[in-house]
Amino acid sequence: MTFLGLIVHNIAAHKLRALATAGAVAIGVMAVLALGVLTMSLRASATEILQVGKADFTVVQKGANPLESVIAQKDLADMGRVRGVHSLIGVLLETEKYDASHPAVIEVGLDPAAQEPFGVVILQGRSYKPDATNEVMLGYALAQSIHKTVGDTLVIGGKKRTVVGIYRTGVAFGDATIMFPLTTLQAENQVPGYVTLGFVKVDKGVPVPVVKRRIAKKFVQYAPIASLTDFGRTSNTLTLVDAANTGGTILAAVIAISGVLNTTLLSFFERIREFGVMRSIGWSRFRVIVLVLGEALVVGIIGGAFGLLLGWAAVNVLQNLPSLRGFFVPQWSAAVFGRSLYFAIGVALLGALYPAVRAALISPLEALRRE
Amino acid sequence: MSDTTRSRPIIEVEGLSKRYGPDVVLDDVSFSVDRGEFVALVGRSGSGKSTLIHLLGGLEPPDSGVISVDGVSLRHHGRTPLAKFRRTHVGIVFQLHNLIPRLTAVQNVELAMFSTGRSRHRRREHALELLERLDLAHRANRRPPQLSGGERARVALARGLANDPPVLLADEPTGSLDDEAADRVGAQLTSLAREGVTVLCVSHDARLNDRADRTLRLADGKVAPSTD
Ligand SMILES: Nc1ncnc2c1ncn2[C@@H]1O[C@H](COP(=O)(O)OP(=O)(O)OP(=O)(O)O)[C@@H](O)[C@H]1O
Ligand SMILES: [Mg+2]
Repeated sequence: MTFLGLIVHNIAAHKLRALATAGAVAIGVMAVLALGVLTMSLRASATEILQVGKADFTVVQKGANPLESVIAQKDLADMGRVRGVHSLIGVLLETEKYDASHPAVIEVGLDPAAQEPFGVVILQGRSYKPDATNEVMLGYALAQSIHKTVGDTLVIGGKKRTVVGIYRTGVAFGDATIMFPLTTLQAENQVPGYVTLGFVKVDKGVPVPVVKRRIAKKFVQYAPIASLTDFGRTSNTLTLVDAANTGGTILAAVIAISGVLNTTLLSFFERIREFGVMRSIGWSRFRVIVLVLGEALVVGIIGGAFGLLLGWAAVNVLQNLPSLRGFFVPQWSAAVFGRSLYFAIGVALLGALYPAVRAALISPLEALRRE
Repeated sequence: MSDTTRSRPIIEVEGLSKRYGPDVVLDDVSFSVDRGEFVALVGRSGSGKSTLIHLLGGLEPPDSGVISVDGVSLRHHGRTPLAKFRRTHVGIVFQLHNLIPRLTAVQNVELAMFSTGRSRHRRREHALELLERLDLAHRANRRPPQLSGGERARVALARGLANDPPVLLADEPTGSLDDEAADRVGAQLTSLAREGVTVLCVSHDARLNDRADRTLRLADGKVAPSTD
């Protein structure tokens, strides 16, 4: 019998308890994995929004998340005159329900003249007229998903529209949108003169940070952002997402550790005599600790593996929820898996530490006197 | 090993006292046992025989007095070195056997050999040798609940011998054996003593006591050479 063999033997001898311990670890790992993937995905879609429009940087209302930012078009016009700004495109973003499985389609209000510099490529049909109230274009991904093509009609926002063109933007997020003439979308949402985001291109040869600084200095209520880091600085959305991830992970850890502690402590009380025997025939305290922690470690790894499966299933369920479809594209990475496995090992060892130390500290004779 | 260490007693007890609350179990006990001696320890039930075995095995601290076993003075030891002491200097056979019911006979014996530098194969081989020697080879893969009392006692004895201890402390190893089995265990203890193992054996069994080199009697907290 090897030491590992003894560990496995001890686990097999108390299958139900091992299962309970592994279950506690698995639930924690599931939560950590799902939260991790969700966080990464939210970060990724935030970056994607910034990447639409082939811009050098984007202007948002300070403190707002990109879909809720409000910018006056006349301010944008002023910004357009800042030295080094080559072009500035204002885009209005709204969300609207299309049907039960598309409860939040992103509507883009964009002037036809701005489509080409914005990076919109028309694949089929033509663009809408600048003042058309019943013409829309569909991103090809959305078109596929709702089974519409050029010439079809659809109802959105309580109005019947004709699909005049299909486009792509080169960014997954943009390809699942529906596009309206800017003035039409502004009028329908009662925000004439306002847009959501400004996409800035700088003059050739001018460093982007210089132009950003000029705009930031002159327009204090707006924030120029070029990267996710910038975004994190101007909006608290990502900070909140990260905080939720951290908080959720800590909560999952506390629950998993108490689960492991509970079952391991129970097992300790049942096995006091056994530890007494080991100590009385010459086992050191250290070896007893290693035995108890080793058992927890093996059970923790088994629980962790189950947790990864559960987490994967949970993410798939989340991904297919109608309200999250399109927004939540799972970002799997080795780091998320690695973190979940460390989590499993960590909670198993922490939960078993106290019982392990108690097992090592028993007095052999007193333990042997127990019935 | 020099001649002086050989001639020095392997167990030396000086002024040993142990009480549980108001009950004085051992009262200023002194005696010694030479290397390779086979000593039987007798006394009425409750006279303190098991207590003495536990003290000599480093499982309990004395209230006062000096114990030296195989050159190790037990008074000065912290707890972890005591584990090593139990692993290398003594083998203990408990009156209640104290086997682990979940493990097979051979696994129970192997358990004592962790941290002794023996390989897994060596541990298994040695455990089987010991069981064989005690006529238990055919019971090696049974768990204690499936063994008779006498068989359990012999597994406990095999475990006590697992690390080839110079001193064997056996608490009634023949307690639950029939005459024939008890006699065989007695013969084993005799031959162990002949091989140089010092045996201190608690026993109520007259035939076993006859095999011993001498008998110590515990009565009223004192140890005295037995007269019968
Ligand atoms: N942990 C303890 N707490 C209190 N009293 C104890 C404890 N251990 C032993 N005793 C008492 O010490 C005395 C000696 O016990 P011990 O077990 O050494 O006797 P023994 O000679 O081995 O008896 P037996 O032949 O029945 O095994 C008994 O009176 C017993 O009740
Ligand atoms: Mg006794």
